[in-house]
Amino acid sequence: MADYVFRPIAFVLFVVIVLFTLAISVYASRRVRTAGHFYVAGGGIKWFVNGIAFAGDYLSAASFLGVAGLIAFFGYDGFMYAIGFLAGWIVALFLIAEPLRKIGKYTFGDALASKFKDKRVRLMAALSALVVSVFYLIPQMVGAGSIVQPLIGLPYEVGVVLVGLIVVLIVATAGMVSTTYVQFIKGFLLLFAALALTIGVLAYTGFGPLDFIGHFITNGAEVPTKAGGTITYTGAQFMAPGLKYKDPLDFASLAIGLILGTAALPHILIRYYTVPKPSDARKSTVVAIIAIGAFYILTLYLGLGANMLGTLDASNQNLAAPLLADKIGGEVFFAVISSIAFATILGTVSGLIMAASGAIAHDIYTEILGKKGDDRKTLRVSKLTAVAVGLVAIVLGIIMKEQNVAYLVGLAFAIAASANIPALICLLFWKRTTGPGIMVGIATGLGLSILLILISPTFMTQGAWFPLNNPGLVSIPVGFAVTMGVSLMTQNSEKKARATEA
Amino acid sequence: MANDGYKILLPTDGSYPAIAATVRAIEMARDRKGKLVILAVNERVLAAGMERIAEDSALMRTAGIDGVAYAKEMATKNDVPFETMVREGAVVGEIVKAASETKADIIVMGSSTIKGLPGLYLGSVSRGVIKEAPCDVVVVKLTEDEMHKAVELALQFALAHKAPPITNGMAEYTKTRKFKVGLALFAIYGIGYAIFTIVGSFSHGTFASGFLGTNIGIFSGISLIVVAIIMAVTFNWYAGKSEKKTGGG
Repeated sequence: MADYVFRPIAFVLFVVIVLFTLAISVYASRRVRTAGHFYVAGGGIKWFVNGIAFAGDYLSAASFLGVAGLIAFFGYDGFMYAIGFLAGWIVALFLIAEPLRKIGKYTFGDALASKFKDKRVRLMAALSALVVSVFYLIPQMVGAGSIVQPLIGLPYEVGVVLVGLIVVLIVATAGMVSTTYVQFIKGFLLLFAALALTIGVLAYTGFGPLDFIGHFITNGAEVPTKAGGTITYTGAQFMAPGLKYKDPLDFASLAIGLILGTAALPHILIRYYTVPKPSDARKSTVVAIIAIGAFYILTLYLGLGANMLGTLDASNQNLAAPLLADKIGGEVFFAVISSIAFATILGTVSGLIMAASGAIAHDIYTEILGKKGDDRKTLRVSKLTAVAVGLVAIVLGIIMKEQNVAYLVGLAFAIAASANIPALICLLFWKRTTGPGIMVGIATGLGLSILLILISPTFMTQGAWFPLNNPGLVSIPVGFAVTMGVSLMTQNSEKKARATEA
Repeated sequence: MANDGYKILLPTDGSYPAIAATVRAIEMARDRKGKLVILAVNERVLAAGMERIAEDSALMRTAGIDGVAYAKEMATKNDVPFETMVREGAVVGEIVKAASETKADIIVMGSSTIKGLPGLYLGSVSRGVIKEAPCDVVVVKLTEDEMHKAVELALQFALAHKAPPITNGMAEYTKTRKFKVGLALFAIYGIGYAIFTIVGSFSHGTFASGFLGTNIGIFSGISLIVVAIIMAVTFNWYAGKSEKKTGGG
């Protein structure tokens, strides 16, 4: 492992930028409510702010650190993540978001519960939201730990614990920093960082945007290994699939998991409904798609740039982009980029924990256990949940050290897609769906995808029982089959239940 | 209608302080034979899950009732003429704007004293209104008795007005042109993505062959990103047009 020493200038900048981001967030969220002037409400700026905020919510550290790292080490297989992450928005925009809004329900759990009065359906949905959130939190934690290492010279574990503690502190004391403007600032900073780094890469290497890619196609690339050597790839190898995903089906499995994952993430769709006007929500989504699409094209240059300039740490792929900043712009640029990444991780983690624990408190505590009426207790339950989820994420983040962040996000997407997409699609578009079908379907998708990950080559380094790294290709169709099969088998009992109800 | 007597602007969000302010405002309207302007401001804050719970709890919006519906019912019961307004945006700004537009004589509103860090995040709306308002402002301060009364009133109201049953609007929605256009765009994209995935999985050589200065893999990957953007923009343009035609989506 490379040695990283404490760098005072970088550290001071880091503290200043993180505090500055938090302060702006507090100031802005306060301003939204209490501004006497009308600029916040004025004209068309609203959907633009919302759109960038969507992007900020989506473009976590995973995209920035992980995708750049994967492209730097695996070329095209890394770029596949960028393509799939954006493709998911097309599913969300055309198939899921508007119809869900049409039936007037805003969370996955609410939508299911509105149709099926069965409390167990709601419990299952809440459980799935919790599990997916935890899996999505892991890569954020890994990203945080990775950044702190070269920035402050502290061990990886300290970084993970640091993020966890800051977020738990924020959530437990106040629990409301993650408003539009936090996400807006986050999205804006990330776009800025990616653009600055891309321009830096092209200026430093002297290539034009197309020549730069052409250079790799003709000359290939060298990638360092953990043992200290290098592997040389030809252009045809590096700039086509097959380096990370040797089994052809692995590539397909990743592709299907990514395109279906976005709409199934609990914390993404929920933001879509918090905009009151449907047309504004749609405009925001379009702004988000433009911003996210542009960002992912830029990640191609970040990853390839890191490879070309040799800023790769074989023991931690996630550092490709920050180390690239160090090489191009020196310590200050490095500190700025790392701090932006760290601040965005803080935003993502707190937003995600709040969405998850809110769902738990709302769905399980008030709806299933029937403790309605006392919101202060509900708030306490959700805060306790948040602390518990935060601690679990810290532990898992430490265990998953050295994994690529985007790779872990890909797994979270696959779990989300397996558990929630069959239920969502059937709920919206298939009249014969039944409560038991949804329940068993979610349970199967959730359980099977996690099981397949545990017996995949990622966790069983030798003789893995399941050959694919990403479970999507198997667990998503099985989720659909089970949801529909059980629905067909329980048609009669569902009819009876409806008859007695009416 | 330029001069129709004493006008009271009542901003309400269904919180306990706002319920108390509603009671006070209706008393005042009755005494002075005035008119009530009930105002609801939708904040455009993307709060979700726990943020929402935390905010509701801090602002004492905990009965989960519709402040406007409550004020309407109270006004009808007491024979107070009223009108309602719904605005969107920054709360203080919209209240002040509504006050000058309706030429209100007085603003009656609740005061929630939010303590601790939530106070730092949320700020005080009543303080902002007092600073900017074009007219008198009454900030209703609750005594403990009034507080209990407000809670009781709110709970009674909440019990009497349960959430309406959910109508399943999906069947009609899937028949709309807009949805079909979306579905068609999705189908086109889905087919493209599927071909891309199949070729990428089983024919690495095809992806590696040169094309327009890059190779087919990189070119089609970037194309998928660009096409997604173009489709989103097109759909937005189309949906905006069809909404204008039908008068709302």
